[in-house]
This record gives sequence, C-alpha cells and structure tokens, in this order.
Amino acid sequence: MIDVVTSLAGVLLPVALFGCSMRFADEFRKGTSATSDRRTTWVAATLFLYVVFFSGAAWMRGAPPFSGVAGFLTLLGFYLFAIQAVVERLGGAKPLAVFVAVPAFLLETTAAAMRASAPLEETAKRGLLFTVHIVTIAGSSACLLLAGACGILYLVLDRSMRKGTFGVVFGGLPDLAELGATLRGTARVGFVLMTVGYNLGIWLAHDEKTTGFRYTDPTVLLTFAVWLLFGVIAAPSRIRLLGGRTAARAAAGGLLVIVVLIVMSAIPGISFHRFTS
Amino acid sequence: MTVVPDSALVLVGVSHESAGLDIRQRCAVEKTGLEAALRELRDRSGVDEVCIVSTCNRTEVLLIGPDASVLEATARETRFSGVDSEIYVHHGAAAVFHLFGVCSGLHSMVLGESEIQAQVKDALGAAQAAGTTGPWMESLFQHALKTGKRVRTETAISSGNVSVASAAVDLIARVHGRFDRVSALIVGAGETGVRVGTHLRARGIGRLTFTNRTLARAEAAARDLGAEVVPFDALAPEIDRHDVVVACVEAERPVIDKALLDGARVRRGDVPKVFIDVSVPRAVAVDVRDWKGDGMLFDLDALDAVVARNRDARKAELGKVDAILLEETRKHLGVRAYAAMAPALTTLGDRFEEIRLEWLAKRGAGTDIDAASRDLANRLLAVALASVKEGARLMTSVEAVRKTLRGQSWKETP
Repeated sequence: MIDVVTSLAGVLLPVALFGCSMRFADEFRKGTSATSDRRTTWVAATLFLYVVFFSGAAWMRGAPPFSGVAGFLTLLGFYLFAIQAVVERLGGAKPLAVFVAVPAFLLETTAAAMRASAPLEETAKRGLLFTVHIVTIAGSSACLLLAGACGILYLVLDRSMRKGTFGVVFGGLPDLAELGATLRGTARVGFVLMTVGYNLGIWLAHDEKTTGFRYTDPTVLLTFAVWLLFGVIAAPSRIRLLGGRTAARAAAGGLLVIVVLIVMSAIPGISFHRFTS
Repeated sequence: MTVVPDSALVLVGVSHESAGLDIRQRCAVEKTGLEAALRELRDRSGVDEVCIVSTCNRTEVLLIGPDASVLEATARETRFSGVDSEIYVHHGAAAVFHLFGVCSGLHSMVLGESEIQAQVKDALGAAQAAGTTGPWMESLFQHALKTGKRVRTETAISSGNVSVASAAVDLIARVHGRFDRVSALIVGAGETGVRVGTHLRARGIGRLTFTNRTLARAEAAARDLGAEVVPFDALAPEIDRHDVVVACVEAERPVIDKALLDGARVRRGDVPKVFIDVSVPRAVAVDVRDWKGDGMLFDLDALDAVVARNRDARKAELGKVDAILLEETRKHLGVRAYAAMAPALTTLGDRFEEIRLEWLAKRGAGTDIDAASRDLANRLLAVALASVKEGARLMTSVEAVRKTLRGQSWKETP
C-alpha cells in the first residue's frame, strides 16, 4: 500500500508543479497581487505530495531517499518550492513564484523520469550525519539558486528601467528593493546551511576515508568559492561589501557555478564526489 | 395593451469631445445657477424630470417626459441655443449607455479617471435638492454610479497613472516598493514640485524635503505637505541623505551632475539612487548615469513612456468595459420595462376579473364543470398570451441594445 501511495505521489508531483507553474504564470501575466484560494490550494497540495513522497520512500527504504541523483533533484525542487512559499508567506516577492515553480517542475520531471527508468535506485545507508550533510547542502543549493534567480531578475528589471522599456518586465516583476532583500535573505540562509553542509561533508570524507578525496578536488574548491561568494553577498548592511547591482551580478554568477557543481557530482570520473557513493 | 414606458429619455450635451473650450464655457452651468437652470427646464411644458451634469469638460442635460422631440427641442432652445453643430443628442437606450459610459470615465479627458463619479453624484444631489427628479431619473443615476463602480472594480480602466507627476511616483515604486522607508528630496517648489510632493505624501513617503533657490517658496510648499526644508546651497549633502531626488526647477544649466555627486562623496545605496528630472531644459545632467555610486536617471522621455504604457493598458480594457456597459444598459431597460408594465398588469388583473364574472353569470344550473372551467382557462390564456406577445416584441435584449447603439459602442469605435 505504502509503495503504491509513494509511487503515485512521485508521479503526481510533476503534474502538481505544472499546475502551479500555469497558475503562477497566469497571475504574473495579469499582474494579480491578491493571493487567491486556488493558488493556496495548489501550493498546499504540492507541498503535501512532497511530504507523502519523502515519508513513503523513507519508510520503505529505511533511509531518506536523498543520496541518489533523482532523490537529490526532488529534494532540491522541494526546497525551492518551499522556500518561495515561506518568502511569499512572509510578505515577500510573490511574482517570483513562477520563476521557482517552472525550474521545480523541470527538476521533478527529470527526477520522475529517472525513477521510472531505474526504480530500484541503490542508496547506501549512511547514518544521520550523512543525511544532515545532504539535507543542508540541498537546502543551501536551493537558497543560493533562488538568490541567483533574484539576481538575474534584478538585473533584467534594472536594465529594462535604465533603457526606458516599460513592458511586461517593468510591470510584472517585484521592485528592485524587494528583489535585493530576497536575494540577500536567501543568500544569508544558504550561507549558513552551506557552512554546516560543507564542513560536515569534509569531515565525513576524512572520517570515512572516502576514496579519491583531496582538498584540491574541483567540487571541493568550487563549493568553497560559492560559499565565499555568497558570504560576501550576505554580509550585514554595516559591512556591506557589494552594492545592489554588483550583488545581483555575483548571485547570478553563483547560480551558474552551483548548476555546474550539481552536474559535476552527477558525472562519474570528474570528482571524488558522487551522489550514490 | 402596451408594455413600453410611456416616458421618453433624452440626453443633450457638449463635451471636450465635441466642442472647444469657448462653446463649453458658454453652455456650462455654474453651481450657483444650477438650481434655477433645473427649475427653468422642469417648468417647461412636456418635461417631467431633469438633471444637469456640468463639469469643466462637459455639460449634459438629461430630460424625461412623454415626447422625445419636445424634450430635445426644449434642451436645444434653453441650454444649447446657437451651438447646434457642437452638441450631441442621445435618445432612450443610447442616452442610458452614454451616461453609464460617462460615469465609467470613458468620455473623460483622462480615460478612466474617477473624479467624474463624484461629479455625477453631485449632479443627482443638486437635482434632488431642486426637486426636479423622479423615480426614473433617480434610478438611472443610481444605476450609472453603480455601473461606474463596477467598471472600475472589474476592469483595469483606472489602473496605472497617466500624469507625469504620478508616473514619477510609479517609477520610484518600481525601485523602492514600500514608500514608508524612502526619503525624497524635491528640488524646486513650483507647481510640478508640489504635485509630485502631493503624490509622494499620498503614497506614504517616509521623509519629504523641499529645496528651492527662494527658500520662502520651499517653506510654503513644505508647510502644506508636512515636509522639511533645506537650503539650496546644501544640495550635494542633501542628495546623499535622500534615496530619491526629483528635480523640477528652471535652470539654464543642470544643477545636478556627476561632478557634484563625486565631489560630495555621495554614498552608494543598496538599490540605485533615483533621479527624476521633470525640468525643461534638463536640471540633472545625463552623466549622472555614469556615476559610480549607481544612479538611475529618468527624464521626461522616460516619464512619457510610462504614461503611454499606462494609457495603452487602459485602452486595452475598452472591450471589457463595453460588455459591462451593454449588460448594465440592458438591465436598466429591463427594469424600466418591468416598471412600465405595472399599469398593464393592473389592467390585466381587471380584465381577468371581468372574464371571471362574465363566466360566472353565464354558468347556469347543470353546467358541465369540466367544459366550463376549460372555457374560462382558455379565455384567460388568450388575454395573457396577447399581452406576452406584445411584451416580447417590445422587450429589449442585449442584441437589441447593441443594434440600437451601433456606432456608439466603444468596441466598434475606431
């Protein structure tokens, strides 16, 4: 019974995220500012499906289903979606939702396709610290991806206004101050999570004597660079090192590096770090 | 038997769409003379109800009476004498549709503006006070006000700002979002400066400051808006202290440029410092855009582009507005037709009673009850059907209204 419910939740997730994407896109196009009941229902239903899927998978396997590529993508999609929902709930940038729901839909579709082709994804049981490492790294990746998305949107709106083109972008996107605040807020949370996840990962690699681990490994170095970059972006206002536009550029660049890191971790041979190792 | 209202409605008027300012002024009715003008029209023979909507852009007289041609002639002779080519005349459904459109801001100089709603309400109030309205005029105006409200709620006809001063505030909103934490410095305390200040105050600006070469003028502007005043000599440090700088000052050369900002060591903020220049010639030099502290400069061209965008967005709503106006016009005519049917229904009731009494008189002892009751039912049905047929012929539908209004409907207007 549990396996049927879990599989069903896994199949329904992309559908729910597609529905959210359509709904948010429609609201973005219309420039609706009020939160409708239907919107809330879509968000709640999607989050519920995520919870069902994760709980069911963990129950069936005896360990959270995060260490495989498909599991990590699902976790990333969940974080993106949930963080945006929290930001929105706190009164933050609502029009951002469409820019989160669409990538989450793509991530979940990829994950669902991977699960369909290899339903018996092998996952080693690695204990609580390993789970914390994955959960914090995925959380930080989602936060930093969101910060990067805010950075890109900031630059798009900024450019549109400087060029005097007052079209859909001008009317639909959140204002620059809100994008900047969301960017810094998510970068700050991402930085804290990455500090935990990164150090825990290094410690685990040492402790378990992971084959091929070295400090000069590309993923280790790039992750450190990302950690440093977002640390600079997230600096408190009193010691702020970057202005709004520079922070947006840096966050957009950080987004690209994170995508590269995820891809590197999925391709064997590039780095010691692999999802199912 | 008829179900058509026995009264006619005629609207005669001039507006900025049909006549120049001189003609509009000639036809305008001053507030002080409004009551007399209403009574004068009402006292004319063939006029039952009167209302006058007179604003700076239009004067429209609405008359209700038994004969439309008499009403039109009365309006032409009294209020619109000698301006035959500049006036417009609408009868019945067209008059209703026009008034609903006026109330919705479709005929206003600034499309979708909402001030007209209050002006129409005032016009009704004045007519009520003068005792020149009746049940139809009152229901017509109430319905017009309701329609105006519905149009503004259900469409974006009033959305976005379409004046330069409010467009400036729109631009600031796209950078800063919330106004309560924003500080704005207005350079120049002339009419435009005060207007921008008023818009900013209305949006809840955190701190508003005026500066002007003539300090007394800045003080006068600041007093009304609860703003601070700083001397013009302290421009550079004050720019540093504010998030937004609005320049509306007459100057041969720009008063703000990159050298001034660099010299004063103006600090960089988290979002760009916004410079809005509504002066001709420019009061903020274009090189401010290259300032390393991140300045975002909007000049009159940018403000015009925002205004044009908002205006286009309003125009894009005309189709939706048209549908609402048609629907409401149909509803109003339906209500009118029903109200007009009241005497007809009374007549119908009386006729039924006559038939019943006739039937009772004819019914003698030993009458076949079944056949007699069928006969009674048939007689009543014949009378009722004749009334329904007549009613159906004369009742209005949306299509009928659309046909009546062909050429006036906004959707069909080029």
